Amino acid sequence: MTRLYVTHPLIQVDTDEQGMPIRLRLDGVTHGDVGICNRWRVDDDWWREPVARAYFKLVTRDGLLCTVFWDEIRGTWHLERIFD
Amino acid sequence: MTRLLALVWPDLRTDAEIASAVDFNAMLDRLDDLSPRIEAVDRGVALVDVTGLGPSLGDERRIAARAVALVRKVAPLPVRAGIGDNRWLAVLAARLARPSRPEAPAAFHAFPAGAVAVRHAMAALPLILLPAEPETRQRLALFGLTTLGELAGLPRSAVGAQFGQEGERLQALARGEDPRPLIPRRRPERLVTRATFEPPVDGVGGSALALRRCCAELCDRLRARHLAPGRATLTLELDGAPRLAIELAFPEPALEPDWIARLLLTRLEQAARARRGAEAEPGVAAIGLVFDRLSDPASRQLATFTAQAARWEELRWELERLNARFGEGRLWRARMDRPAAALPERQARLAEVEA
Repeated sequence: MTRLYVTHPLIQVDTDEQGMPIRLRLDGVTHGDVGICNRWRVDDDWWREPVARAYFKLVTRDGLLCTVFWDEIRGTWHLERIFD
Repeated sequence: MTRLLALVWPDLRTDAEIASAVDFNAMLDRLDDLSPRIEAVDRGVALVDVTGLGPSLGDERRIAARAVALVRKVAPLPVRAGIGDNRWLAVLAARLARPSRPEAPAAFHAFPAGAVAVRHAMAALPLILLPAEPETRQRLALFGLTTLGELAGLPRSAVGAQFGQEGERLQALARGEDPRPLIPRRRPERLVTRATFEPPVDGVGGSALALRRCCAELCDRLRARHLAPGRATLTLELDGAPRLAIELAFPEPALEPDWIARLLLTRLEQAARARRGAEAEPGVAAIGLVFDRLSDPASRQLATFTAQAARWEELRWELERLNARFGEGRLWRARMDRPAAALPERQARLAEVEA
């Protein structure tokens, strides 16, 4: 089971010099040692309301598995999905 | 001395349409009023232990008539009744029963009590009545045996030597002996509670609190045994009006007293409204609550989240319960509209579930 966050809450993500996530903060808890399981891009709706997102599926040392994305248009990090 | 009554409904045995339309268990339930020992031998055949009923109900013909009358309240089908000392004799008597006139709904035949009298009564009956294989029957005929009396009169050792165990069994039957006991069916368990009001409370709504208490009491008793009811029956005794009964069958065992009470109350209010029309609501003198069809609730836990193919009724029931428990606007259904959409939030949309 996964929980999909349709409203995409804002999260804090620290990145390295290449823009890759290394640490994220969820609900007041900091999860370090982030590993990237997968990454992909979504570019859509360029003709009306453009969407440009860099997606990362992350796993942390404490076992959190989630999907976050970097909204390139707004310049914000968002949480999309948490896996059980 | 044991006396068994066999009831045979030929229509239930031969007509699949009638057999599927009639609730055979309900017919047997009716016989519970006559005797606690009832066996459903087969579809359309029942055995009832009527030992010792004579002093209260009269002779055996009357006892059989009483049984037939009870069952005909459920299904008015033609029936053959027979009484004997054991199950073989009782069923054989029912087979031999012939109605006194062609249109009579019931026929009765009884073998006398006691081994000697039985052998005498059976002596002239044809061997074809025995439940034997055709080959065995043919061999018996080759020996010139045509009646039960002839087979019964042979030495047991000689029959055993010629026909083996099967022959010995048939000879015992021909002598009217059958050691197989009646195996009473397990009566469906039911829990009953009751609350009386002195003076009567106003209307159906006034009994709601007592109903909740009754539901909670029965649920507590069942919870301790890890059981849940599959059906609830509520009976209201009204002041100056006929009693009102509501039956609520659950698609799956339910052990939530508040929910059961609420559902019963809703049905009850509907029934009371339909009955009284514009008349004033009568007072309620007593309520009786029965839980039955008890079973283990554990296997049905989280039914909402298991595959529900062709079980929409059960799912709807589960959703209704969840709605009642958590309130409106808490249940949503995800519908995959665009599974190929690049953004997950556009693949599916949520619609509120209306249970």
